[in-house]
Amino acid sequence: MPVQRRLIPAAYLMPTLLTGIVLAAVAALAVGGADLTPARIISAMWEAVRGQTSDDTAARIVLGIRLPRIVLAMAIGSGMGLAGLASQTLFRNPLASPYVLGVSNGAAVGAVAAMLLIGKTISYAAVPVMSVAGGLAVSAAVFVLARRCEHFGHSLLLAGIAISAFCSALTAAALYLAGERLQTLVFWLMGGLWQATWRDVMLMLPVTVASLVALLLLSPTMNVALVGERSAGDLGVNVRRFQVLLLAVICLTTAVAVAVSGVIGFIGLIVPHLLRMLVGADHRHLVPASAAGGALLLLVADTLARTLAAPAEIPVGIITALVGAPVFLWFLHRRASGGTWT
Amino acid sequence: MILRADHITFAYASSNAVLHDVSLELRPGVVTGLFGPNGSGKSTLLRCLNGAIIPAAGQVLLEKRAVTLMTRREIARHIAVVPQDTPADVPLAVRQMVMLGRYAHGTTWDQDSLEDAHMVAVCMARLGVAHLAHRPFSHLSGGERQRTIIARALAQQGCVLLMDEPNAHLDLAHQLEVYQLARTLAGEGQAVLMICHDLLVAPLMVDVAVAMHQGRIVAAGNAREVLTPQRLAEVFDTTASIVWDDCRRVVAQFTP
Repeated sequence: MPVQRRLIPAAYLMPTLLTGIVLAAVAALAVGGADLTPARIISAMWEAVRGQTSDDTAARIVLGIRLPRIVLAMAIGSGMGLAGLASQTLFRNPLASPYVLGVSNGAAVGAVAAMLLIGKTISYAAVPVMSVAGGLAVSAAVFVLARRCEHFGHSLLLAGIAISAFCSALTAAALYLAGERLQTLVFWLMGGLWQATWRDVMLMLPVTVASLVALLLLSPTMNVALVGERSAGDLGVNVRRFQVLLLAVICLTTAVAVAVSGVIGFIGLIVPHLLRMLVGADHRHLVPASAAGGALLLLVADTLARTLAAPAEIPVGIITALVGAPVFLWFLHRRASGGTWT
Repeated sequence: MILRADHITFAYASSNAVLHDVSLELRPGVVTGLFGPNGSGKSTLLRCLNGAIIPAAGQVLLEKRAVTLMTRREIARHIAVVPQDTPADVPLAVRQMVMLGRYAHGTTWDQDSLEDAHMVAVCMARLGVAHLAHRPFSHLSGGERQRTIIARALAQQGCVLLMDEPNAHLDLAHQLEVYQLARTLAGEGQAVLMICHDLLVAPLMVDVAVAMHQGRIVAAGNAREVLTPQRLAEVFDTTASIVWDDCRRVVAQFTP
């Protein structure tokens, strides 16, 4: 008799992921272009913890460059894992990703516009601001277009695809007109964390934490939503309010993530899907697991991105797809005989 | 509790009215069968009854409260629905599926309280799916799936049970089981509404038969008096007669 089997008991998954994150963070602190001994890294951190400011190179590298980058990678990875899970629930489709709504393309248009105008009228600080504004404008447009339709999820998807295409065209036009700035724009669009600052962390981390709290609270409802809009309503879910909350989580997280790091693909798609294969579809386990899994994947990918070809940087999106896709396919192969979702 | 539709009219945005001035009362202890051809408004009426859609005119009252003024959660604690179709690809095991019936009773975090677990076990046993508890829902047969969904509806512990063609995917033996279950639940004080397409067994098993045609209720009462040859001809547009003998059996004669 085929029984729903889990590859890993849910109770072991979170400790495994959290241990992985700690190990990856330690490794990420230790490696990099500047050759720092573990002793210097530890003393720099210890001084910072004790509130002593030192202007020594090691302290500046560890506290000003590596640490914010590590925290930012975790916050973005976590946020994208959560946004991906929310998308897959909202659209009842395991292949949905936070990017299907067009929010990322809207954010990219905002960022590209800001970068083209830099030096003429506005400063660099405007890039994330314009980017978030672009992402939220697309979110609002998609929501308004789909609002009155009976099949909200479906309509959102269709509106998102259309607006996505429109924004891609705008971005392409901007690239065409970019001239000597072309390389900067293309590199930004590929996604990366090489400019990570504490300011970016301050922007992203609260959004990720808020998404995590929101989805933890919504996780029993996300379980009910698996049976479809109509039955979920019969079982006691205020479906429209739930969908709007999920939409808010997806849009806000995606817009801010794209604003600080460009479009990093694959995490939102692969992390929730992979974890669903590992622990099953109970969202009370999937929500924290997706947050942790996303953080781990992006932290590892980003560390590889800045060390593999050092001192050059590989866009991290290339790594997430290169590492993620084979792992994903391997799991898919192992579970090929299972159900459609699990 | 009595669930009552009071002169309700409903129309989808794009079409003419689907329900015209429909009044219906579901009382505790009574199994009501809703008969009518496809498109006569049966499922729409059912969705109005649990507040999923809001009538343009008239109202639906649970005791004295309008269901449109109740939250979805409150409604789900009183009214359970067995839908016509449930997607087969839901990635849950049978027990998890039945547990969803407890959603309306839970605060956010105690979904799997001991009471919930007990209720779920009782409902699974009652529908004969306890041995399938850990089987993925997507691996079940049509009949097992339907029984799981009915178990889920029972786990809601409502006082009204609305079933939209619960027998559509079931073989004869399982159909009889569902009818028996409906009778037992009515015996326990539930108000049960079943949308039925079967004119052979259903008329014997319901207390009240309601015939719908083109969005109106054309007759309600004892099945024997409602499902007359004239009315079958009028409603189903087919020549058929149900012959009742005295041993609570029916014989149907269809003239092709």
